[in-house]
Amino acid sequence: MTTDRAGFALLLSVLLVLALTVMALGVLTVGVREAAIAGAAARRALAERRAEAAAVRAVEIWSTRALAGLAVGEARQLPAPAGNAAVTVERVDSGLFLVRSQSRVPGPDGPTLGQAGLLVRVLHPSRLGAAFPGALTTSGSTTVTDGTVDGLDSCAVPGPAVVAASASVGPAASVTGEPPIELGTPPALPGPDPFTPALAAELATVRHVGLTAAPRPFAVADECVADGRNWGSPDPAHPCHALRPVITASDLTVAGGSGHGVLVVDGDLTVTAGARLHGIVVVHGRLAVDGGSVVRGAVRADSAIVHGAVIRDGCALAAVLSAPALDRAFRPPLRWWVPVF
Amino acid sequence: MIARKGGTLPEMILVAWLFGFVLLGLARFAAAQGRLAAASHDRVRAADVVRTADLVLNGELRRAAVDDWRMDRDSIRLRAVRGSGTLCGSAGSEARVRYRGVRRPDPTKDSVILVTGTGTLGKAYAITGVTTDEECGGYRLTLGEAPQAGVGLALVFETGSYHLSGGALRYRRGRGGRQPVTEAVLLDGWFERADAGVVARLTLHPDSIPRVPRRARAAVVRQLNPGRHP
Repeated sequence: MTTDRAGFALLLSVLLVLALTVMALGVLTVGVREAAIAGAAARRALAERRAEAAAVRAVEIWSTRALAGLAVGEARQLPAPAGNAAVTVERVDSGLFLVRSQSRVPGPDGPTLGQAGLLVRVLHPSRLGAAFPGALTTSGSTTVTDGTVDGLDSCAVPGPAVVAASASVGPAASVTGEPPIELGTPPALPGPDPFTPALAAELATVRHVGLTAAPRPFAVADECVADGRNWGSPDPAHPCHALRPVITASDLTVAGGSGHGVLVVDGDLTVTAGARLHGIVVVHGRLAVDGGSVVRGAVRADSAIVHGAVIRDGCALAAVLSAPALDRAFRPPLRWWVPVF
Repeated sequence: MIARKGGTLPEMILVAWLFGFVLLGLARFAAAQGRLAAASHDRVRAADVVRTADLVLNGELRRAAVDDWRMDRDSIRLRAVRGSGTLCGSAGSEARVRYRGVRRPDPTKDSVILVTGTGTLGKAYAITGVTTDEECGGYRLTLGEAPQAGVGLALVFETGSYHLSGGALRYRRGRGGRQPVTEAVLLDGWFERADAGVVARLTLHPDSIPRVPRRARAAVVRQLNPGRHP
């Protein structure tokens, strides 16, 4: 049985359902669109970060020696250091490289491309030796009171013992070289100078904190253990001989002990009796070598007073200039990232 | 007494009252939906503006050197790099560049920074002429003066500035007019360097987005000022 009924409940319900459906569709459309935009933005950010991470990683595992054969203008693809990114290194200048990395992140409408470019500088260890023309090179005065400064170099070409703006030698001192003393201004380094405090701090493998140090090479079962007190060993048979760290410090007294590497002091350095340092010592201040201490390799300082022994040794110099810390790339000041297309 | 079909007066009043009540409910419902739709629209517009501003500014500034941009209260002036490439060589006032970029170098608006091993910040030169250099795989740029000797990297750029004005983030190249980059929903904002030397972020005061509802405004400010608004 059917009954005619007057009213508008059905119509009203249909209209309400229709209105709600339109609104829901609107919200859904906005949501889907926002999700698509967010997804695209996320893929883009991911691609860019992957490219940047790959470029940074390539710099972290850098070896200048491995790229020595690359001519200016030439490029070489590196093994992918991270994720699915491609990294190419191009030599821009003799000491400047451009690291290009590219990554692709797959998406519903094709891959999203991320690119990054890094400028890195490298050192030329072969040229750095020029900064050390003598056994002891100073830009100011050098006083050899009763110690020994030897520039004859049993391992390489003999050179001057002392290169300085002014020098005085005591009657009990021994200064030997060809010539023993060369008065003048020490040569400046070509290109980036790794012995400036700022760059040394970036290259440093040991950052010494404190006013005194007594470094000791430390090995366990013929395995060298690198830590802040281990400055390598001057003894060629010791497992830590190959460590050759770059050490930075401010005002410092080396109270005994031994080391083999590059020591850069941003302040004054005193080497006391019993201490034995092999390699390169750069002092941005006053150097005092006490009696009973030995520095072998090459030394550069603002001024120096020598009671102990400073002996030029081309082999020790060459050994530390080929240290892993000097084989790496470093960040140029002011401009590192560059836009690449 | 005559029997009549229909409702009594109280019934009619009840129906009219119910009808009025339903109509009022519908009207309020429609008004609320209208407000919701408008708020949603504003939120979407604001999010769009934030996204665009963030994308554009970070894209331009993320890899710029400290010397390439300056920030003011309501504007960022920058060297917008449009292409780069290594130098094949230079002779006289010409530099040959193995160029890749978003467009061809244009002497009417572009300059170039030449980065070399001795000065990685580089030096800027005006470009006075551009010809194709197929041997180098790029362009031969005639510069306003002879570049420093040596090889290096060339960054071709146009000088421009981003402004917050007239309700929108706008880009102005050189002396040209300010072209809007975003919709006009921003007012009286300012730029701030949140992470010095790394990334410039667009920072807005909450009151600088008056056309966006309060809650959406808070969301926009949160996005633009990460870490400042819990």
